[in-house]
Amino acid sequence: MVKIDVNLKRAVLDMMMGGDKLSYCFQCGICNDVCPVSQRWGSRYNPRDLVLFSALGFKEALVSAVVKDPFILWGCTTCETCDEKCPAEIPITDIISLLKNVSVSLGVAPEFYPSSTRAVMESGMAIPVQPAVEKRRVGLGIGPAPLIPAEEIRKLMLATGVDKLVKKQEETA
Amino acid sequence: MAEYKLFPGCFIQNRIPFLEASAKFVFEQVGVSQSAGNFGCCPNPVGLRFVDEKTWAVLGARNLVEAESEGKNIMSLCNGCYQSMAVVNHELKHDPMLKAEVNKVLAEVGKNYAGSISVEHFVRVLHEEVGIEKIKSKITHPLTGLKVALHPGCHYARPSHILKGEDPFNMYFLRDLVEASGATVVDYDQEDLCCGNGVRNADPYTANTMLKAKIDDARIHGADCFAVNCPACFQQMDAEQRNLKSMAAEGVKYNFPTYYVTELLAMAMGKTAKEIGINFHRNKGKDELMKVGL
Ligand code: SF4
Ligand code: SF4
Repeated sequence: MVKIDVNLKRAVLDMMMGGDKLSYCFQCGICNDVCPVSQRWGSRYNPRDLVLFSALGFKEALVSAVVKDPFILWGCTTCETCDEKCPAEIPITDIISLLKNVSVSLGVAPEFYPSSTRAVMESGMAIPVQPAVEKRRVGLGIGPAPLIPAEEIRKLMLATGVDKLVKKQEETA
Repeated sequence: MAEYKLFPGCFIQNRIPFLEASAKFVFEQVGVSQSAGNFGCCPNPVGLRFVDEKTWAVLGARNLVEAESEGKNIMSLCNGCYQSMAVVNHELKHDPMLKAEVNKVLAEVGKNYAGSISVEHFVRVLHEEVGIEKIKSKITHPLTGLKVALHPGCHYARPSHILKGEDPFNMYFLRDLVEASGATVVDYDQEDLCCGNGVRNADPYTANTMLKAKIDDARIHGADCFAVNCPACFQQMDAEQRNLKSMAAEGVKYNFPTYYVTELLAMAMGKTAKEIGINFHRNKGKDELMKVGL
């Protein structure tokens, strides 16, 4: 029997019925047709299924499929073509982003994502100031980079608890 | 025109600052005033957002608050930073529960989001606030004969119900700016195709196939180079071409140049390629620039 996760189901249905509209995915498949990743990989990458299974709350089934092949979720290039073309105005990439959050919280994500989060925690930016680039900036006449409020950003990240997420990821990796 | 808080983004600021140099030169020429802000990570709409949406909203809001404290709007040099901050701004304005949650976290550092400023992309500022005529009046070295394929990029105009700049499937601001430089725009079928940057960190192979499709198609249509308005697209389209070697058809080399739109404008306004750091590109396009006397 398929287990249903009501929290995921509720979150996704909320996204479909947000604001002033009430819409639902009628599985037309346009998102698959216009998706450049789907066009390259066929059934290996299928946004329509991601929308359906998450709206049904099939969290466990989704996660175990992602563990088997992370590409079925992380293969999305976030071009947002599907959102623009969906006749029901389903925020498909927002749903995919939510699923990625779920995937990260269970320790299943490509290495870049936790490591770039750590970089922000350590230096306030995904790409920290580098001495060689600072020199180049001065040579180009635009001066060194402005100071980054790294300490304040760290505090905020500790307050949201994202540090724990990253740690968990690093431990599973 | 009121002063903007300039948001170059970490990638331009700390890795490819020559894009910032050309942009600042053009802003000065056409009278866009800007100043630096006390900003941190935007944060990345295809990075941190996927780890934790709430942290993404909090850090985005923190940047907005910095600009609010001076009563100035933000102008971004990057599609990704633009999209992140504009979407966070929109969500906070429309979702009181999220706003309360975010403000609760911001209170830890004595900040509070009000929702009093807007986030703009520099392409819209140049096209709509400066205007093409003014830009044209500063052109001294028109790039006549240079054939350019456009790549405005995904996060410049999508999601279109939030980013109100242009219709994502009928964009013309970048086209007008490139034509103002004296260059010729060539149409190609893969203009709307994503550069591939968004999937690079999860699956580089897929990213490479997308880049290859764009270059192959731009070449078929006779383009000499790409014009972009995003550092992430720039990096993917310039630097990552080195990865296409193993996919290349016999005898085909991947050394197709990519220019940030203000690089083209700066050169058309009299700067030499060296002065604005074209030498830092992986594919400098020497032959292509020579063709138009640069
Ligand atoms: S395009 Fe929209 S309605 Fe059609 S299958 Fe995809 S998400 Fe569902
Ligand atoms: S955003 Fe993702 S799912 Fe949608 S079209 Fe682009 S790659 Fe496909």
